[in-house]
Amino acid sequence: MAGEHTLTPTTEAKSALLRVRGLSKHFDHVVALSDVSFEAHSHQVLGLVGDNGAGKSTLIKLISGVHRANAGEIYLADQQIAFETPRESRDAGIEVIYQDMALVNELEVWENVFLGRLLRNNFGIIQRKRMIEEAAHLLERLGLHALSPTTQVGYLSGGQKKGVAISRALYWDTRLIFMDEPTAALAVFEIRKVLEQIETLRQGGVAVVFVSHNLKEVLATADRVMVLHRGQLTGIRNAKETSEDEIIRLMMGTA
Amino acid sequence: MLAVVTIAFIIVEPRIFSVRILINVLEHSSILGILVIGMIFCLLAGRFDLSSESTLGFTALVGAWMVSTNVNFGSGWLLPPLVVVILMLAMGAAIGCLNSFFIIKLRVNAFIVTLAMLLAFRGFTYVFTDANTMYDLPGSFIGLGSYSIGGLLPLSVILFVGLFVVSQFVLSYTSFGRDLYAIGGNPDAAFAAGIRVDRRTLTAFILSGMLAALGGWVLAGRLQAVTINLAQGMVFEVFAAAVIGGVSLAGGKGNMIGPLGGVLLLGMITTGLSVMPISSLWVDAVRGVLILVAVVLWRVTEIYEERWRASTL
Repeated sequence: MAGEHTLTPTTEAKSALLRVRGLSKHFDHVVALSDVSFEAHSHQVLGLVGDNGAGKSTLIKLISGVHRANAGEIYLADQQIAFETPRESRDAGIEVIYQDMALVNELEVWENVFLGRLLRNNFGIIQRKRMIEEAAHLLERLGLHALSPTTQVGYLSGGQKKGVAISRALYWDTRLIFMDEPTAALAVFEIRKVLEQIETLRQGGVAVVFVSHNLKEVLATADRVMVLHRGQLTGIRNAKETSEDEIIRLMMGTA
Repeated sequence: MLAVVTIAFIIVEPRIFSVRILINVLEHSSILGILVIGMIFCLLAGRFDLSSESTLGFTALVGAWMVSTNVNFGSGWLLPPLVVVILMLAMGAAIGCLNSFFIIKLRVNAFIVTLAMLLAFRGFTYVFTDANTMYDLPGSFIGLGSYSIGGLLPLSVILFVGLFVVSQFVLSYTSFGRDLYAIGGNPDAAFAAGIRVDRRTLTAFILSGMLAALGGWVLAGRLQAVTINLAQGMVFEVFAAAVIGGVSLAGGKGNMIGPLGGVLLLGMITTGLSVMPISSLWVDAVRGVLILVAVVLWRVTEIYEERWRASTL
């Protein structure tokens, strides 16, 4: 693991799942992201922090195909990618858990797990029973034993909804997962559960990019932490070797 | 609700309870039913299609013009009825595409777009025929709307019930149907999950247009003529049937079974009122109030159901 955290990307391990080089994006005259380079590794959690407007969401949207970059390159497992739609990025194994979680309250749990990718038989008929069983299995893996896959999502608590969104990622052989503020607005015991679920993902070999405003949480969960300030990368640090103070200075652009 | 109204009518006017009149209710409901199916596809995706009754009127009229054997106003093309029907369905699909173009590509509100189309296509219908009525339609063209098996069970009733069954199946068991719920419930989530939101919405509007054209064919057959005000004002009942049947105007909620009940309820009310000894001036007022009562009753049961569900969690 030595050298993982350094600022010079060339020295990082070749096995990086995601490599981003010089990524830039502007909306009209507003620069949202400027020349950002970093890597994310399988079996690791990368913390992504920065103030509101620092470019965190833009970064996620560029990689997941919601927006197109103006400059820069993105490599997934050494293959250059430039997704046109979220559908393409999902097919490549990239999952995003948005802050508003992108769940459909009107639908049941199992259907949200399989949203946009319903399992079908040879006649094009959806396999409801199979999906309900698979969903139950996934929820169990995430420690959500009490949650029935046929409950309507609108009736769930915030933590349970996060669990549903995460179970989606588990099922689809996801290689890279972005989690935008997964612990925001949750009760304490629910936060613990979500952090456990992140650990489950990491052990399963997924590269997790974890966005949070809670620095204690990030430092406790992430292997490395990258900091954005006004669209620019101000630093990448090994979580064990940095401090909240240093991260805050990077966030303010005064490091 | 349906049962209550039926019983009420039977008590007040026992003559209504005859097979002939009940079949009559079903037959008169078939056009409304076909339009309701198209509307539900759009409503589930969180959109409206107000234009379907004008699409029905316009495609029926152009179809009748193409197929009519009357030399005074017909096209004189003498096309085979089957070709004409295919052309009508294509016109319906084209109007659906046009609606979608404004709604999806230009992002104009569906309500305004289809309201304008409702007016425009009714207008085109007037202009197209100089306000003439089209008749002298060949027997094979009017068959679907006018033929009854054994003189008792109209083909149109079989068609309309069959369409409800098929469309319910589509909603429950195909990814198109399920995607409509997701799009209507949370379009951003649907898009982020990789659902082709625009394509699904386009399909819903095309289906609505084609179903309207199909309805036009059936209605032209039943009346054996097409007038310029065919199905005019039906959009109100289409919405009422959908809402009574539990379809949410906000999208993402509902099915086909409930609205089928709504369609039959409205058919019952209309037929019931027409055989009741009341002044025809009162019919619309009574109909409006009854529909309002039905919608309110449905909403009340829904509120109680929500409370019950919340209390069991």
